[in-house]
Amino acid sequence: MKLGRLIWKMQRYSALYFLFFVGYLEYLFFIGSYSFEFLNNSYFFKSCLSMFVFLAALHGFAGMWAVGTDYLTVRTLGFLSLSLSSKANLIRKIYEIIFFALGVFVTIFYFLLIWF
Amino acid sequence: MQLEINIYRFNAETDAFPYMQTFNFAKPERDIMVLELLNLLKEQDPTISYRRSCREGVCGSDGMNINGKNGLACITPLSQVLKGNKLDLRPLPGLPVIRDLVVDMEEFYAQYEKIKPFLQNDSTPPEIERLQSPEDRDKLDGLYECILCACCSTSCPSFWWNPDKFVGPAALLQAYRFIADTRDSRTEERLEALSDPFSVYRCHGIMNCVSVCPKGLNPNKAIGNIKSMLLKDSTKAVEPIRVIEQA
Repeated sequence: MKLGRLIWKMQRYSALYFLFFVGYLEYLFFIGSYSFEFLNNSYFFKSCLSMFVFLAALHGFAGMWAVGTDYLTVRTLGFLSLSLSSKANLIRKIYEIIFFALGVFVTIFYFLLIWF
Repeated sequence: MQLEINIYRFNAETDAFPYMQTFNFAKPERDIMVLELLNLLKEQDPTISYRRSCREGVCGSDGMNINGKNGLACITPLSQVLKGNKLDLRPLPGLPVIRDLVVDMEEFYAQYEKIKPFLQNDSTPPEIERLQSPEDRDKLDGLYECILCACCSTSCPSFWWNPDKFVGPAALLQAYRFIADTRDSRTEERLEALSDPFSVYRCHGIMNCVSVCPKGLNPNKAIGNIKSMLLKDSTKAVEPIRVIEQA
């Protein structure tokens, strides 16, 4: 599968899953199962939540990558300053490393929180 | 009544930075086009530079930013764009300025060249011409009329940020014009060339291209059709695009 299509599909399908998950939360709320005991003991809920966290990380990664490749480029930073522009590729790499590391850290943290 | 006309001025040989020059001009009695106004101003100041040729919206030379919106000066009536008595004329945004309202279109044409804007068919040509059914010909309506004025591409933020990677609405409209053409046999290759994360997928559908197109075309719809074909792995052109009626 081509990278452009993969990213596009991943963002759309994850957005659809977010819609499903919000619907599921509303359903739980309306049937009165919105308690810590229920949620903490429901493997289905925990699986859905884990999937939500994972897809949110992927969705966010694609979005943040798009922002970086739009605004942290030689051309775009050149509008602000020539010295910034000459370091644009390095700045973008650092930005990508930071949000990737942050994404992995937050995902692992939430997984631990959900399952242990 | 006096009009206040502000024109973007820049001459690389004499100016360190661009600036806006104000001209006061008696409002003409009849409603004239912006290009006519520029011609009258040029009589006052012959150094004002802009491109123009056909003066009837066919050549696409005089694309510029008129009071914040891209358009062709030759078919834009003054009455339609005046804000109070003010008119700001700037070059097309996002492209390097050569002088005043004249921009360097190289990046725009490079993207156009990239999509191979010509019919490609490896089969032996018939004696007279490659025929097409009226239905297949209808699929090209709303696509072939593009005059490459660059009003759409230069109103698109994705093109401003990545003019070397994002193909831009004008070239994508032309790409779809050949993808949708049943006489062209390179549909898969054309789609393949657009399948990276930038060429097509950088379009987020904000539709600036549609709102500024002086010919009333809909590049956004063409881009949507290309995306659909890329997603479906289909080589069958989707529904035809119609020319939007101008108000």
